[in-house]
Amino acid sequence: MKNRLSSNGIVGIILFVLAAAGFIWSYSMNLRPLEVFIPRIALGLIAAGGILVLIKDLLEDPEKKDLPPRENLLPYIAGIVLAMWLYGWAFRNIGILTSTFIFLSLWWIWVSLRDEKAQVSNQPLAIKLGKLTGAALLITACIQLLFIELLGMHMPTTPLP
Amino acid sequence: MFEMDAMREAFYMVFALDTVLFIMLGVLIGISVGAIPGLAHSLPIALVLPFSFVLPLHQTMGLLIGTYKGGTFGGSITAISFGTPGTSGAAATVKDGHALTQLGKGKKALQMGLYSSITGDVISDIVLIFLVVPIGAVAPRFGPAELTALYFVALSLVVVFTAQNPGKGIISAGIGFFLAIIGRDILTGGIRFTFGLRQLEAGIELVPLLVGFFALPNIIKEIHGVITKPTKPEVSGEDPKELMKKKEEGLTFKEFISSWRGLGLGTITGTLLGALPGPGATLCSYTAYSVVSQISKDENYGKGALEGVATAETANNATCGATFIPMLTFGIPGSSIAALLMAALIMEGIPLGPRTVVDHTEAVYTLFLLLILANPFNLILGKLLIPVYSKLTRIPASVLWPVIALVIVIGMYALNHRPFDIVICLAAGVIGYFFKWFKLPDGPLVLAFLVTPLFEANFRQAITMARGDITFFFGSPISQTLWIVAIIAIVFFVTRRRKSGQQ
Repeated sequence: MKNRLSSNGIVGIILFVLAAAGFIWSYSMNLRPLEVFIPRIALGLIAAGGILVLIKDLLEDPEKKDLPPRENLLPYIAGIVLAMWLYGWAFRNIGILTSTFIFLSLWWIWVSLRDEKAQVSNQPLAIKLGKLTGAALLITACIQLLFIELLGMHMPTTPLP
Repeated sequence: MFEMDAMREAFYMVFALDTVLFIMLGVLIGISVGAIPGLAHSLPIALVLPFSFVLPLHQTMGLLIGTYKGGTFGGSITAISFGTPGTSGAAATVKDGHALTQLGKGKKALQMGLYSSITGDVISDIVLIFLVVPIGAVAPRFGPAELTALYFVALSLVVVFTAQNPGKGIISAGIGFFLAIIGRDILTGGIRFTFGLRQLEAGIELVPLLVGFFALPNIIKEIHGVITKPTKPEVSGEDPKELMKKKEEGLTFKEFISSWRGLGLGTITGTLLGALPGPGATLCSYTAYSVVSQISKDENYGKGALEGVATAETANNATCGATFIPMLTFGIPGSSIAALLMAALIMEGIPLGPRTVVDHTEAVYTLFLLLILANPFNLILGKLLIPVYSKLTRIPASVLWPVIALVIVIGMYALNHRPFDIVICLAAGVIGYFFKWFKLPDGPLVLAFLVTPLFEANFRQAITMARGDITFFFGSPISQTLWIVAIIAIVFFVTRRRKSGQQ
């Protein structure tokens, strides 16, 4: 089928719908016209951009379409973002020393065990684990020295951000 | 008027062992801390500020100026090595700098970053010394109408980025505008688009946004690679030990000089915009970067060109000397760092204002000499640290990237001690990943995000002053010139892009 819609065009439509909804919503806000002047320009630009992307997508030769890769990275993005947020929560609640050491050593132990299972490493597992645990300790100490001892970072216990 | 006696006194104070040691210490702190994402160099400057109560002027300012200059360069180290800007001013360096590292030319890129930083710094210092009075006289003529026109010129550069792919460029600029207006209205305090989140009322901070936007997509890519493709180091071609020992080719003089367009325009942009209160190093480097993208003959510009690194870094560092111009002539701090330096000078008993140069000539000459003397130390210490950082990039991804991820999280918290900054950084990272996946240009977003608050504040101030009369924006010769420049720039860039597109 000629001129079928690609991911580009679909994202263009989604952006247009979201921006147009925001633009309409701005009229129901309890704000003065000058306060919503720039926000409306912003939303209008996103909507216009979405339409332009859609038009370009429809006019483009399907064989030449520049499709983004279809690799499913969403679980990885969610996992990494969650792990980083969890570390942010952990260092404020269980301390920078404990949390940094736990996060680094857990990650490296998992990577080493997986490499061992897949037999991609020539180094004995015990030596590798020893080296990485030492590295985790050293990095933890450096982070503690820099952020807590030198910069005197204040860390109150806050259950949620 | 030049005063020989004051210069002699300043010379003896600055070229003493104690001052030199304080400058060296400052540069070392600046480079090291500037290279840690989130720890912008304003933090170490704020930390050493209390020393101004106990140390004399030349030692305090030596330490602070060293930290400022070292930090401004330090931000580029991680930008080039890991695609993670250490300071917001180094964000424009990421594109070409990190691409060069991925091409195995990390050392060249780092050296270009260092040499162009020093070039921008030195020229900006010389300009400060000779033009402090004339440039300072023009700066206060910029009222809200003139500043609106000036920021419109900056916004017109969005066209440069969008001209190649208008649809995606416009989306990127729109998202930049939108992110910039989230939070309390600058004039009325009305709450805009916070979606009920109290933490968003303060708006979105620049540093978490830029660090997340640029760093997180790299972290995701690298960690995804580690998880899905566990490969033997030997399979990848080189033994890690050998890889660490391997010497990379350095930058040649010919390569450095061939980036003369970037070096020249970067210096001019950084010095001129840096002399105005508001724009800051990030806007200066992005402005210069986008202008040079139009005239550069290097086909790899934006994809791994030394000229891109040179432009961004010269403009970034050229703001160092220029920041002192409004400070020494009118007592106006041009940036948050300038405000900290100003506080140190006031604590040292130097009141800043139109009479500073006349009443405290010796102190002003001391500052000039300190600014110039900090440059060779920045060069020497930078040269010593470059091999260390270029080797760090060869550490296996499974070891290096988790550490970078954790340091970013702590750095974002250390910035304001606000846990929500971590959330902003992570959300910006997801947006950054979407930009990469959807192939949206990042330039329009950053430019729009930086300029929008400045543009909106001045535009609304001007419109209030003029009581709705639009002609107010075109009243003075300065604003007329700036509007003409904006129109010419838009027409020039659009027609140029069209021509190159047709070819």
